[in-house]
Formats: sequence, C-alpha cells, structure tokens
Amino acid sequence: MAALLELVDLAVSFPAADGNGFVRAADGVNLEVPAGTTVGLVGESGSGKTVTALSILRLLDPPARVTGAVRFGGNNLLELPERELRAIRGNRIAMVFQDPMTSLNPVLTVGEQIAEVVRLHEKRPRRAAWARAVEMLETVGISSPAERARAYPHELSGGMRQRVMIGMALACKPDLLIADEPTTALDVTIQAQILELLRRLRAEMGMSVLLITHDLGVVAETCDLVNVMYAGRIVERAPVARIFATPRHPYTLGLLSSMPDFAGPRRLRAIPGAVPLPGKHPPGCRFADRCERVLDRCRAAEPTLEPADGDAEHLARCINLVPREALSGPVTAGALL
Amino acid sequence: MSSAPMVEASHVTVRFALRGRSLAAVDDVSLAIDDGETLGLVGESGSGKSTLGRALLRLVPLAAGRVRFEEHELTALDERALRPLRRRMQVVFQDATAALNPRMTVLDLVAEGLDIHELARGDERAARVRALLAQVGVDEAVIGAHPHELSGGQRQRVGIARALAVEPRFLVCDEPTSALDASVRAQVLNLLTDLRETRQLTMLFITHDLGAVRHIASRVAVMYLGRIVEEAPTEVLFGGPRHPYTRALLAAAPVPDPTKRKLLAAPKGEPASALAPPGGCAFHPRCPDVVERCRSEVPQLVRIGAGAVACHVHGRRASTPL
Repeated sequence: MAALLELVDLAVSFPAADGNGFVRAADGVNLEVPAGTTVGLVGESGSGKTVTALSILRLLDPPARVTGAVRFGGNNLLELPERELRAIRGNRIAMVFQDPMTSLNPVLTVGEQIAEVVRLHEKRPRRAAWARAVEMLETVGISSPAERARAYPHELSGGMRQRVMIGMALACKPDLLIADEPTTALDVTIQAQILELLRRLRAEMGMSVLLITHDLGVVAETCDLVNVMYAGRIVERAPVARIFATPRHPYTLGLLSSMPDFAGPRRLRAIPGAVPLPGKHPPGCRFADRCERVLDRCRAAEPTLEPADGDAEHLARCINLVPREALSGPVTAGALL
Repeated sequence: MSSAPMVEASHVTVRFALRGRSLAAVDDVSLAIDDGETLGLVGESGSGKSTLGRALLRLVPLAAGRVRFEEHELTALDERALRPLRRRMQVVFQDATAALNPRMTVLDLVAEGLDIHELARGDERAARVRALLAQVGVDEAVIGAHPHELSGGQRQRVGIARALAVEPRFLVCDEPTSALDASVRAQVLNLLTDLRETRQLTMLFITHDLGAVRHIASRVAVMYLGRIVEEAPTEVLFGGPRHPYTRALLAAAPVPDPTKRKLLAAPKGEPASALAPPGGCAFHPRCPDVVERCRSEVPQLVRIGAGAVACHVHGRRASTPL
C-alpha cells in the first residue's frame, strides 16, 4: 500500500534547560501512514509523540528545530514554502487537539469559524460556506445544527466543542486527519460517541488518521497499525492485533501489563522508575534502566528498529525480545462487558 | 471488626450557588463504608462524586443530612471539635501539584500533619518523615526538594505520605491516579493496595477510571447527576450491571483488546446540567429503557440481590427500600 504520509528520520530538538545545546524530544522517527488506515502513535508523556505530530504541519515555533523529512503528496513539507504549506494545512491535512477550547476562537460563533475555513480553502461564497458549516455540524452529530451554529464556544459542552473541532477539521474533506489525544479530556460516554464518529467519518470519507494517544484502550478500538514511542524513539511497530497479542519490546509488554484491565484483581506489573526527561535517557537502549530483560550489551549500543525474528511487519528496537508467549493467560479486559 | 459501618452518610445533600442559582451537587445520598473496606465511587465529571467525598470529611457544608464517622456525629461538631478527628480521616487529591505548597520542602510537606497535631518534633519528626518516604517508595535524597523538582509519580507519593503521616483510619482518594502515566499509575495502585493492607485502611476511592476501580475496590457505587444510581460488590457490578447508566458506562469503556473490538455503545446525548436537572430520574432523557414513570418520579435506591439500584424499570424485583 502506498504511504500517504511518510516521516523520514524526523528529529525535533529544543534548547536544553541548562542552556547547553539542544536536546532531542523526538529522534530518528520513521513512520508511515498508508492510505485509508488509522495509525496509532502511542506513548506516555515525554515520549515525543505530540512534538512529532506538531512537526508534520510545521506547527512548532523556534527555538524548536525540526530535521529529517515529512513526505506528503510528492513534497517534503519541511521544505515547502509557507504559501504552499498553507494550501495543504486544513485542506489536505487537518488536525484536532485535546483541548478544543484553546483552538476555537472565543469571540466568533462556531458556525462562523467553520464557514471561514470553508471560504478560505474552497473559495465558496459566504452563504454557501455557512450552509456547509451547518451541514458539517449535522455530520458530526450535533442536534439542531442551524441553531447551534450561532452559539459561541463557551456555550457548548466539552463534547460538543470537540465535535465542532472535528467538523471544522473535516469541512474540507482532508486526506489525512491528525488527532492528538482527541478524547482525553472527555468523559467515557462522550469519548465513545467521538470515537464512533471518527470511525464512521473515516469510512464515509475514506480518509486516513494519525492518532496520537496514551490510551491503549482507544488504540485497540480504533487503530490498524500501532507505533509505540519511548523517550523520543519508536521502539515497536506492528499491526494492532500483534501489538496486543505478542508485544516484543519489553516496554510495550510493561505498558500492557500495567493496565488494571488486563490484570484483574491480581497485583499489577508496574514498570519501575519514570519516563526520562528529553535528553536524560541512559546510553545504549533508552529503556535499559527500567527494563526487566536488560543485558550488559543493551547499555553498550542502542538497538535499531528491526524486524522481530524476521517478521517484516513487526518491528522492535530490542536485542532481547520478549518471547511470543509472554502475555500469558486470557485477556480479562473483554469481561468488562 | 465492629458491625456498624466506619463511615455512614444519611440523606446527604450539598448545594452550591452558581450564577445566582442553587444546584444540588449531591442530592439525598446515603451510603456506608465498612471497617477495612474499599468503596469505589465512579461517575463522570459533574456527577458529584468529589463533592460527596469532601462531604464525608466535612470539607464542604451540608445542606441536609448527616455524616457519622466511627462513633462521632460529624454534622453535630464545630471545626474545633472536628480537629482531633481530622487526624483519623485524610484525603489524597488528583493533582498533587496543586495540593502541595510549592514553597515547602518534602520534609515540611510530609511533616505538616505531625506539626499541626503536635505528634513529633526535631529528630523524631525527621525520622518519621524518612520512614514514611521509604514506605511510599520515595528516595529520601529528595527530602529537601521542592514539589517542582519531583516527577508526577513522586509528587503523588509525597501526597500519600503526607496523608499517612497522621496515621488515619479512613482515606479518601480523589482521582489519585488520573494525572499519571500508565506505568506510574500501576505503581501507585500497587502502593495503595499495599498500604491498605499494612495499615488496615478503610478507603473511599473516587475515580472515573473503571479499570482502576475494578482493580482496587471491593464494592462500587455509581453516581449520576448528584445521586447514587447503583451500588454492588465489584464483580457483581461489572458482571451484571443493572442500571441503564451503569450499563452505558461499561459499554462505552474502550477495551484494550483489538480482537474484541466493538461498536462503542454510547448513550445518546450528554448529561443534563445540574442547574436544570430533568424531572424524575435524571438519566431518563438518555435512557433506552425509559417509561412514563421515569419522567415524573425520582427512583429510590432499593436493595436487589447483593447490590442496590435506583431504577423504576430494573429495580422492580426489589422490595426493601434502603
């Protein structure tokens, strides 16, 4: 399958807190989003997943530095003139953030905001743009859309604001939606509505999604392919079923085992320690200090992301792979209902 | 173990003024927590679960109802009389950053309760703090550090050490793991489980995290718009939820197993505003099983099997009002 989006050796650096040079929050990231798929980028805070997402549309301001390439539609977005990038932003690639309140303009009605996007990108006349805005509100499941279009962001609930953001992002039928923790701030029943909405719209519009999240439950429900990130590196990549059934990197196994859903009432297998700050990871494998499978060799040189036991679809950055049968016992999560 | 519950709330109502109007954040709630038990209290934002936790500790004024802790009628006591009891009931908050004074060191933060209740001074005070830090798994090297120098997990452990310093019997944990990353969340859940056993704590565990509550609680109460709609032993509740809201909540939770991918069954609409709660059962506008009676009459929590449910449709086989 042809990749719609391809990140090649992407690195994002910030000035170090101590003033000594730069630290890499994301480092040597290679990632593909095949057309028509939902790809997950999973990690804990400090893993570098959000800066990776922001760098795609060049949404990071200096002093952040981005190197590598972001290939999309035959271009490297990192080198595209601002004018041309603007034609892609919102039009072909749209983005949804965790907190819609900070992304919506508080002094414009939500209808005006969606209509403005439509007018900018599709050069439609005012009236047609407004009609399209109302239509989008309906598409994202907002009742009485003509009425709600005249509401200001603060007059809407968090769930409705996130629907508005999604409506705005999808108004121009983008090829790719980048969703950064789109449901993290929402209650679980509202999260379910939004995830269903994204699923339905993806199917109807044939778009691809890059989903950034820390929530493995959300990943399991929505993604086709999963990339696990740790301390700036992608440490494992596989189709979603394999990530959950046979995680090969000890960090991925640790994440799965530390979920109470998986453990039932028995003691949780927590990963000791905490995610290192950018630039503060140990030499060699960045997970070595917290890893229960660590070998001396792990500290000598950092492993590369390679096919695990020759499986070209399942990559792991580890020289002491988790055996396939490690996640023993039935997954009890399904017993939730 | 005595037969009377350690903590008992009877018909508790808590009201807040908002935009010139009064809303019931907690509306006529009764519950009991037995000695040594961990009760999970789940609900979405605005359900009143945190306010109920604070009401049990008398940290918010009650508009109606009573709270009893051990042999003390808390509602009858003034702040002065409450003070010696405060030692025995403590709280751990979600946001340890906001709960910890940024200008105090870890030593003084953990020792604050010891100071207030005059439990230890000088060397004894520092020794107790070091012992507490060891118990919650914080390296004593940080004893002179300020909160911003700690990681999120360390801050939450310091918050727990601070609560434990005065040797409480009853601990309210208000979303203690919600701000933590997955790997650290598991550490804190394990820590709370261990402490509960070594210190024989009675706990109220308030959360929106169904995985965490299933892991740690022996019994679970579900709140919706200020009221408890269902309550049951944990496995009974997860195995056979009765109230349509409890069912909706469990069905909406994503399952971390891609082979069991489901259409997330979200209930329609959103919770009504507590400022203008719908008449009758507060869940009726979203309920798939609604009948006429639900629109006019508030269902009472009635015993059914091992649990209790407040529903005109699914609580019908019940007979004994609580």
